[in-house]
Amino acid sequence: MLESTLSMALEPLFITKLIFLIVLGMYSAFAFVLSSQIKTMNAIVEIKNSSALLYAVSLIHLVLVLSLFIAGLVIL
Amino acid sequence: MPDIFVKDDTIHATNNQPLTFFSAFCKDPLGVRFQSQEDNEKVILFVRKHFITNISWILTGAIFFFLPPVIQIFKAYILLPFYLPNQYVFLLILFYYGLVFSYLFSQFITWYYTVSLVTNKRIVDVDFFYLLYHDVAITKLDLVEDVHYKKTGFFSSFYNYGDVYVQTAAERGLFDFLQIPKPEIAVEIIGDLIGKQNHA
Repeated sequence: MLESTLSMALEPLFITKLIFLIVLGMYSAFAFVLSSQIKTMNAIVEIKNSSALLYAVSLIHLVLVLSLFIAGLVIL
Repeated sequence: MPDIFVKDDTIHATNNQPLTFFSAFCKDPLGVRFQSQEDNEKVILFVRKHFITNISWILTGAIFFFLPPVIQIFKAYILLPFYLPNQYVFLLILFYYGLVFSYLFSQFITWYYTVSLVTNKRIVDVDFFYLLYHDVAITKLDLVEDVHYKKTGFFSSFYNYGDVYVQTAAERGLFDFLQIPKPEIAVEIIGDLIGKQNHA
């Protein structure tokens, strides 16, 4: 049982999947930081219309990155 | 006889302009506010780097955007040391274009949020870089001692942008508005405001 689990863990495809998910997780964290920074900067300098648009784009970006992470979990 | 010594105010006459997404120089802008703005404080000048200064990251982004199709063309000549299933390749391409978008977006917001404002009372300089660092400096106009600008290089002459330096008596001695369009007009506006403050 342990032997089969170990051999599966050492498979190149499994390692690739693990690396891929870790990188996607880091990317999700980056997208979150990006949107929170935009929120902070909008509080410092607010330019009518365009500031809200940038924040909306950053939120859409965050949602897409999280979707990619979930897709990675499901597909791979 | 024409009165040649009367100051020509038409060069920066008051005509409130709405800020657009790509505005880099705006006199009497409409729709801009900053955190510590007082009720009777009016933004007179809004500046940020000239849009042409973004050309390097736009070109880099364009190269990265067209890289996968080029790799696709030469795919037959590239030998991978391992086999990647189709679903991995699909997710890898999505991830790659996500990264390209993130790069372009982060460069854009770095440009977008690095702004300088001149109000009827103060000078506000907001620097934003590396996503995690922002620096907000504010000084009163009556602390401004000297203002000058510098234009160097072919591009700055061609596109009319330069660096404006505001020397103050405050703890932070120098405020710099780098690569802003029409630096001579910015210097003139700040110079006029300093004059008004000194005569008030």
